[in-house]
Amino acid sequence: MKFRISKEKLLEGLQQVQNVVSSRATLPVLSNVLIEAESSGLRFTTTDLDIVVSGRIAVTEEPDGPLEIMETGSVTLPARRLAAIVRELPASEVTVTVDSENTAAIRCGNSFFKILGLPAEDFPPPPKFEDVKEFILTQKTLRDALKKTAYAISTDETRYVLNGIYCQFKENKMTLVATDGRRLAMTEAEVEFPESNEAAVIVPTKAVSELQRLLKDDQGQLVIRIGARQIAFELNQSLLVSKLIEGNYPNFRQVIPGAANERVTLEREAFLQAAQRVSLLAPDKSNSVKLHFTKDNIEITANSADIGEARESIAVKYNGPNMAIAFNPEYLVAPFRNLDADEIFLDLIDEVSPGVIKIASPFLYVLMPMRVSQ
Amino acid sequence: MRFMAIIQVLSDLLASQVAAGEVVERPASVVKELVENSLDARAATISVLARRGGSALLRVVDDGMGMDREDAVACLQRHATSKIRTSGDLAAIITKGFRGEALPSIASVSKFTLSTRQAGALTGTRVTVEGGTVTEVCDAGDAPGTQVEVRQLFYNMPARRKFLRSEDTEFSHIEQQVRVQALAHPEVGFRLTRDDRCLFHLPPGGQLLERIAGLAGAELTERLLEITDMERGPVRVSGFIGEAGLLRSTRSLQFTFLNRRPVESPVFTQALRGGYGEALPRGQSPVVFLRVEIDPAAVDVNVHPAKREVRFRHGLAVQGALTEILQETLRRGRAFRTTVSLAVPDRLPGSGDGADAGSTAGGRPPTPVSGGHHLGGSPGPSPSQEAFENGSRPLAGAELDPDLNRRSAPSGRPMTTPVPVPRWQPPAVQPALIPVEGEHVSPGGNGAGGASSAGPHPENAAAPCNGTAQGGVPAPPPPDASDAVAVEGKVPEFRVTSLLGGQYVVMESAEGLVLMDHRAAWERVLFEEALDRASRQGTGSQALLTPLTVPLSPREFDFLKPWMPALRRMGLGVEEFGPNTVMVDSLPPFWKSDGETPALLSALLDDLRHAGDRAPARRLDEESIAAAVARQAARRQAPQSVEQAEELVRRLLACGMPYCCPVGRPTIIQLSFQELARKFGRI
Repeated sequence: MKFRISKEKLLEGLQQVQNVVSSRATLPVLSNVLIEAESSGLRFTTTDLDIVVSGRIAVTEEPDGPLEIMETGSVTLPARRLAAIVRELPASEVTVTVDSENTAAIRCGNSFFKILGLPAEDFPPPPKFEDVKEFILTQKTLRDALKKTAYAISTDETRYVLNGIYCQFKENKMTLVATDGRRLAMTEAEVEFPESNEAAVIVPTKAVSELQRLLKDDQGQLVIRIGARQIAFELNQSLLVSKLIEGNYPNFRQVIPGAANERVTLEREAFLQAAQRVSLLAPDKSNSVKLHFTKDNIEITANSADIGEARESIAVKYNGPNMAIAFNPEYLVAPFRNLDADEIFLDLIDEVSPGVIKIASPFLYVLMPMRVSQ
Repeated sequence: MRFMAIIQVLSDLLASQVAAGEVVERPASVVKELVENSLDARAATISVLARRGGSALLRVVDDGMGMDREDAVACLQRHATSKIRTSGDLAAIITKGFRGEALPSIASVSKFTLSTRQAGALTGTRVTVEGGTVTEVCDAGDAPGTQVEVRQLFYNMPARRKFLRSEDTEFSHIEQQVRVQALAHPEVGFRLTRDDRCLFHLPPGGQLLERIAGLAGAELTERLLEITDMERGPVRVSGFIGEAGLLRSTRSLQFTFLNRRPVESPVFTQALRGGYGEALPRGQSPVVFLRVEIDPAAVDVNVHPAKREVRFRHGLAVQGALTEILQETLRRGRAFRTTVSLAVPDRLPGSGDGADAGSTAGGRPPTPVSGGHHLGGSPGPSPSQEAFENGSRPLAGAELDPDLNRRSAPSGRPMTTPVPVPRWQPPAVQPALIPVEGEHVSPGGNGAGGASSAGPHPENAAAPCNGTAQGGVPAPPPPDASDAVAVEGKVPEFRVTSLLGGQYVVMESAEGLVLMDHRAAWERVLFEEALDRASRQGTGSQALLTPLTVPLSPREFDFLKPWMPALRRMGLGVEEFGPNTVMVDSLPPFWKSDGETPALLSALLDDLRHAGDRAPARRLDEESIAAAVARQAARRQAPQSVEQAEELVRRLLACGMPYCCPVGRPTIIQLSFQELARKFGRI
């Protein structure tokens, strides 16, 4: 196996996949990246047995292209070490030669590295898919939907079904839901698919964050394949395959409150900044910020017996009764940080009922208040 | 004839020697008797010199009232005493001695010289005694006061002499004895000299806190809570006690005085156990300097010749009162901590106090053992010190009489004057004179020790104080700028280096290696948060999108029911939900393991039941609930990363009492570089 590649391309290929490699892998080969050289291109694959990420660099037609495959073959090499080496290489062109002992010789300018690898056969084979349902959507659709929901994923391992995003494909809509039992984020997007394809799965957190890393290109298409146990995302030259979380996602529809009594329209940026400023006085995760509603005004306050207090007023249109409702500051600002709409609606019922954040497009964030002892 | 010779009255000498067996056990007991005599003679300064562990020479010099020749001779008779006259006096003893046994006993087993002069007298008297026989009485021209020299102790009792331990051991007993007396009488100056080295020199006229600082190190004082003349039932208490968590593995820093007399009594021990409660793990002793005053008639000190034991007429009442006072003080210590951290401005010792502190610190010797320095910390030469050296009586006797005036001049006056103990010091280390034992459980001592050795930079020194200084400051906060050193928000310089065994956090500080028990630390953090949540507004309970229902056994259910309001105040929104089922609809913000909430509840119930069993008399209060909540919650926390550990350290150090978990297990232990060096055989 032998190939010549530009330093940038090689680094890009490695960086795209190296994140999956755990520093404390259970098998030595899991620390390695599988490199497969075919006549048409070069493929990098890593896995932690739950997720497989792979990226591909294609051979281009031009004679002095960034990649030239001189000899096909495959090998696995330590992913992080290789990336670290490539990052520091002195010249722009790298030649990699792998011998039958799985030792890679890396030449670049005046540098020479010899890296011991493991045979490609040791690398776990790709998972098999059965009963695949396929969905095609734009990368932008999924990227936006993930951004609007991913922050609400639970980290509580005792409720593992919440450690991921619930993806439902039904009635030509893709619905994404994430919750940690205290707040819930939900978004919907139109996606076309035959009715027979309807499905609902839970995609684990790690796959979501890897996917967000891969979803850079706004224009391209994306293919989602859902099998019995796995989900695959295929985009550009990359592929991500992840195990699914098995279990029943709670019925999230029942926690969405009905009609609200009051609605205020907030300017996203202004409110976010005010809330963040005030939260400086609620640095402890157990503290709350309070929203005091009076006529045409919201006052955001926080106080900490050890530090002091902060308050900031925001002029809004509000005609309802005076009330005050307390929220965990982190939970309150999260949607403001992750949405890009300029106007955000906050629907409230009363001081002890959940608040709901909405925007003009299909999105919903249910936020439970904090009960503050009086 | 053969009937007559069997029983004979002992000769005086023999009787004295027999008595000596009880009174004079070792050189330290001689020191005790002589120092007590000096105190009874209203001395302002007492110097003790010991050569070869006291077996070659013991000399006690005081500037007390002295004796005339007649008394000087008489005092060496058995049962000759100036201290009591009638048996009525015996019932209410206010002086140290009264039995009239000490001097003749000592004189009977040594080569003994007594020199004394009354202030007004032209000449003094010197009496020389050898083995109990007066060999010489002559004039002497000493300074006013009394000087007793005891040479070759037990020279005529080889059996006893054989039983003396090493010089070092014997001297350490002497040292402890002088230290105890110095703590009991801070107004009296003490000097202790071993062979030709002055071990300490404590100026007269001091306050108890200065004494403690002088003897046990200034760092320790930062973790003491003051008891200011609290009266409860039969007792009146003043002094200082260590905050919860300040523990030693021996009782070397446990000083209890009854009517100014150092005593040990099961009554006190029990009161300490009860007062500290769960903050006192098995095998540990709190640090206390406790002065208990009680009607002399209600206590019998005439139990043992050495008077170390006492009998109380109403022991239980004394114990109960003491326990309450201790509990109150410890609780107040906590409350005080949380309030003071608010008020602390970002200010280092102000110009005035800074200068004060600086001069004091500057006057300190770089090493602990150089003669003639004022370790007590009062700046400048003390007047009485000069007076002593000039040979004139320094102060009116009445003013100094510790026993007669102790009611009117309460011993533990509130510290309204700035304590001349500097909070931070130049790098010149002042090691504690009292060997600080059990260092492995004294993070505070060590942490605060950073104050002295962290470096010349005040802020360096301030940082490690953060955790300790606030708790240790006596309760009515002295309007002393040095307090401000405890700058809020400053994190002591603990650098987290790694995690150990999934349970410990390894850190380093300027002092050495620091280990933190991850779980204990979480318990402390969560415990204080839970209490906070119960007591104050602004924190709250996070409502859940879907309430959890938890089935309980009927017994558990009945037990839990009365505690629901308290649990709710602490953020655990538990409510009845049908028969034997509760609903949890909100959780404390730190609790994120929803799935384990049922397990939390049942573990909580177990904890509470046990707490109830262990101390049926003690009210099952919010504190025990908070402790149980914290305990259960902390069990589910495991250190994940160094960053998380750092965050935990930060939160721990922000706690009111960071150095132990709610039941008194240490959260942080430290191995100083010195200790490490010792272990590696470098010292």
